[in-house]
Amino acid sequence: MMANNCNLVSVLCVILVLTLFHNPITVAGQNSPVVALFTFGDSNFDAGNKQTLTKTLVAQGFWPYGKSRDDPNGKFSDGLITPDFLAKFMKIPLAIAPALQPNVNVSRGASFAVEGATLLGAPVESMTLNQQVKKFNQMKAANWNDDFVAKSVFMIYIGANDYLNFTKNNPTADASAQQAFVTSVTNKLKNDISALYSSGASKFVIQTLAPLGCLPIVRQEYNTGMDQCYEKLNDLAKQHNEKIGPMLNEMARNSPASAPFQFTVFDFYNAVLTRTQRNQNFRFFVTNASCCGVGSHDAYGCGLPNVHSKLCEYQRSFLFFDGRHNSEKAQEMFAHLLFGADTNVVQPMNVRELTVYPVDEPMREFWVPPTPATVHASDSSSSTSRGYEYY
Amino acid sequence: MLLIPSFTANSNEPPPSKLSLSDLSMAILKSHFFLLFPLLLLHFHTVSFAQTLFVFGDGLYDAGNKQFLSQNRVDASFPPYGVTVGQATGRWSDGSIVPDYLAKFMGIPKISPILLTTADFSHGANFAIADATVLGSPPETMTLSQQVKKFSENKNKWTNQTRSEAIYLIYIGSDDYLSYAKSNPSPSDTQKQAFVDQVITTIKAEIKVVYGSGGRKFAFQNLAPLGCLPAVKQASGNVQECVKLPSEMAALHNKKLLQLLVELSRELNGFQYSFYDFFSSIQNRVIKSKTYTFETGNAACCGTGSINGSNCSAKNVCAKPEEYIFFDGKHLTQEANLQVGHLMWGADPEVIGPNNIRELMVLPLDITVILAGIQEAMAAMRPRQSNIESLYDIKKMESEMDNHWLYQVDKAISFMI
Repeated sequence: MMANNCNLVSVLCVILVLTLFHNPITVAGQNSPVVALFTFGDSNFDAGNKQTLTKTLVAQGFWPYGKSRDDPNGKFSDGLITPDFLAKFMKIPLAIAPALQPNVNVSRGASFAVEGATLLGAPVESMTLNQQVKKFNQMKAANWNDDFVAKSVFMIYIGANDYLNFTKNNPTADASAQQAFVTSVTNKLKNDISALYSSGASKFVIQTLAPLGCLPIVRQEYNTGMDQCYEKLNDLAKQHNEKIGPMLNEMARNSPASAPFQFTVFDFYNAVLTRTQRNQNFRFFVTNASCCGVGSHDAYGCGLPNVHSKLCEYQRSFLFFDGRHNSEKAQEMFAHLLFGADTNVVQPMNVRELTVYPVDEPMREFWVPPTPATVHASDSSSSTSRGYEYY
Repeated sequence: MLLIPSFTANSNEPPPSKLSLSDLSMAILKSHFFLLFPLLLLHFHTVSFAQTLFVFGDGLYDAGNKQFLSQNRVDASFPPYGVTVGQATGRWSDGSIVPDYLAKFMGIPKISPILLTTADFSHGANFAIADATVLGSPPETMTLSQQVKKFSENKNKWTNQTRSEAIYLIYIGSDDYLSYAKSNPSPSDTQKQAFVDQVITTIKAEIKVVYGSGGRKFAFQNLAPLGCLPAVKQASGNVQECVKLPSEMAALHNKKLLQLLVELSRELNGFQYSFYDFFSSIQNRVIKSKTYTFETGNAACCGTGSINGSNCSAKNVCAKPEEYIFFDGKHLTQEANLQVGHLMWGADPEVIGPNNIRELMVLPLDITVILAGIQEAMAAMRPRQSNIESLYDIKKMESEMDNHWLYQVDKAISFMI
């Protein structure tokens, strides 16, 4: 029952609701845009490419990898990886297959990521990001039209191996050497993203680097003990991550209105760090060691035939399945964050928003550096640190 | 699993006294559960933490009952059984069996065979025995009904509370179908269905007896592709392929078994279950042995014949049992049992659903009242129950429910205009 003086408002409401629910980009999720998900980078997103690339048998192709689903398939997880869950949320009905494998269905996307991938150099039996982009270009004409590519999501996670190798080979590198290295790595990243953009991609999701010093294999190799991370690697990751947002802002602002560059940055660093510091809030009982492997942190050798690895009985309690890769449960959490979290986690928009953002619209909001009010994890790597303020 | 918190006057009940176990090694094993427990206490009416395991079944689960009934030492109480652990206990493997691993993960000692009357049964008992069937009355063994009868006869060894919280682990039916296939080489579809129905009907009756004694948490391992057992392949003469009929019967049984459990979860108040797809696990390992760290999925480790499918003895055992899936013609090696244990304990619903054993262990006892509501809703949407054939169908139903709900929400919103 509406009073006469509310008629205009109710009419406007009707029109608003009608437009909301009849717009093809609708809230209920039944009308997700039909786009693809392409992933690039290293072992975090490798869907099985390394297995195809190398002649030697690789650990990730064997039990206990895949133990949650009884399916060892070349992914570095006890089951699915983040892109698989993200694809589900995007209502993509196929698996995001490894592009290098023959006879795979790539109609809704593919993974070009390969274990061991770097930005710089020439990794053995792997592919740099640049080589992955070239591979994408090779496959493009036969598989995806330009319109489809422009609407699709391109997700990248790379750089970890560059810094891990740098630290191993330059243990005494000083601050300026580190800075110089970070600059060269991030410049290469920018070039490679531009190359993808030139190929027609316009929607980019860049995942920042994990706190590399907190990976169980790093803690194990650098003997940090059970409570500490290897801060040198965390520093490098932070330096790298700080450059990502501004770099992408610039690329977006400089892109022509006819072909807007759109992006978002997923703060993977803090997503992982906070799970090591407040593990119980995320239902992880063990975050400083692996479920599968040997050594002080059970971090080495999962799946290798000559290594008698320990295997945890409940991998869902662990943040890391092997020395550096997250368990399926964590991978699913990250997909939720990517798809629908707020700007303190993924900014300037989440993947769902990125997917429906009109392809011919320039971005209006950009990445902003986190202020003390928005930082939600302290820099301390101690897993017993508690009591810091959120707001 | 959707667990809805229920705040009642009883939410501050102290945990069961089992938690005050002072055994240090137990405490360490269960240390992570101490963390989980307070969370449960805050939110759930009846906290449940199964520390008791009852095992029913055949040779796969037999922990040493056979030797008490077998006149001619046709049992596993001598080498090479137990060779990997240096002791033959009557288990049909080179070492531990699936119930042993599940007990270990639950934080309790191995469950002893009931016929070993001097054993400690405080954490449950094992009624499984080699050659056990569901139907008929084979000699020197105990059918499922006889095992359940034995359980009923002994039930006062445990309190009502213990029996309600316990997990009832069951693997049975192999020997029914193996002998059926032997005596009925070309049954019609109707005949196959009829036989499977007989087996399932009897299983249903026995579950109800256990339920009547207070049992609520049932874990079923479905049947292996029986035609792939080395003993069966070798007997058929063609060791290159799995024999069709026994595997077909097993698959049919598995389908009906899942349907039975879904039906019982609607019919019986508080009924909880785990259904483990052992069929797929064995199929995966037979087809892609090396992926699962086995050298072969064809031959057994111990026995004679082209694939060592029969007559396992100390004279013909392999050097490395861990490279094999099958220890003898019908039973798994310790390594395979370990992988199965891991899968049953903690795998995703595609492998064991709707709960894995760890989840089943802690599922509060009165929760199914709510779940039954969801099952009812699902049933209302899908009147033909025969659509459930595998764990994928349950997942599909759940996602259809999800979509249906979203559709209803859309419709409801349109009424707000």
